Amino acid sequence: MSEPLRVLLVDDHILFRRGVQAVLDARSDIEVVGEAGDGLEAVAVARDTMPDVILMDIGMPGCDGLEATRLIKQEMPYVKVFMLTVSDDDENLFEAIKSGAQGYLTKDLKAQQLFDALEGVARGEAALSGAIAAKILREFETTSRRPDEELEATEPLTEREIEVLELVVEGRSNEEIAQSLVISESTVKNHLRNILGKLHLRNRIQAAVYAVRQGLVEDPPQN
Amino acid sequence: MLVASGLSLFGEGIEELLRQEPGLEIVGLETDPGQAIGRIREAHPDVVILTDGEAATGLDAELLRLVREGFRMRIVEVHLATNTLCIYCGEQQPIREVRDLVDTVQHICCGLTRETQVPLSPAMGQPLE
Repeated sequence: MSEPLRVLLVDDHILFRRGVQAVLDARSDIEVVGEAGDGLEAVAVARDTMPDVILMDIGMPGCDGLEATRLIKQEMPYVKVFMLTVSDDDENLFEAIKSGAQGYLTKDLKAQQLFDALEGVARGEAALSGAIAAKILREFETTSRRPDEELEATEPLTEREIEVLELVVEGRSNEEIAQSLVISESTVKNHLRNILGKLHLRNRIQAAVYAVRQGLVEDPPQN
Repeated sequence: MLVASGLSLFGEGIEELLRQEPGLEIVGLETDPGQAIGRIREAHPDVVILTDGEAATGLDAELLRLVREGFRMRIVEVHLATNTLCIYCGEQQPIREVRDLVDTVQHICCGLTRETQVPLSPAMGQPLE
């Protein structure tokens, strides 16, 4: 059995911290190694615990999550920071990414989606809530478009693969995609591997960006 | 107890925490306000826990309607912005004479300190930390 993923929780709400900890404790492959109630405490606890991932709130008294992320990424660049916040404000989102965050999740996500995001850490994936992914996709759309011939260089996707891709663009987890298409989760994973292979991409975020850019799927619905 | 919160992860966390406490039974976790009201009508929980963001969804108004209908329940609202709990108690008292109003007001106020008497609604704000 591989080593559990070591997670540090940072949030000024004790109920939220303890609640997320209780949810994560149910998983044997995840270990909560510490918690902090503000940004400066987060930096100190990160130094002590050397976590794999930090789930970081943004709005906290004193040193906020954005500043703490900058400090942590400067000192411990290998630590992955996922913002976990109620804010879907564009400014915070792009500031978080500039600060070095590898993920931006909103607190309306379900526990299973958080598990999926954390599982993606091992594969080097970024973690984005559906609505957040949509914002970034729109930003990409307006700033650059790749030439049409790029699509021709890839193998065509099957109808089923496009269905899976549409749900990925909506920010659905593998479990939700499986339920929606009435197939098993492992089948979903295989479809995703095929999609990534055909499109020469590395992860589902890249696939979602590519799909929207190339018009393979419709724009995700906005919340 | 029923947990109603659009913040799914928060709701699931609260549910998990409370489930570990003896003597407490969680009868539901709802993220949709309409489904929360339906579940309350079915399960008649003693306590409903909700987050402050639910005010925008109209859930608080629906809860007040239930109280007016005679549902005897306590509502605990978690204010994430201020890190406080607000407790609302729904009760109905029959009116037989004017004294009933005076007695009710005195009964409510006798449990409150001078500081907490100022905001009568919410009845009580209690910092978490």
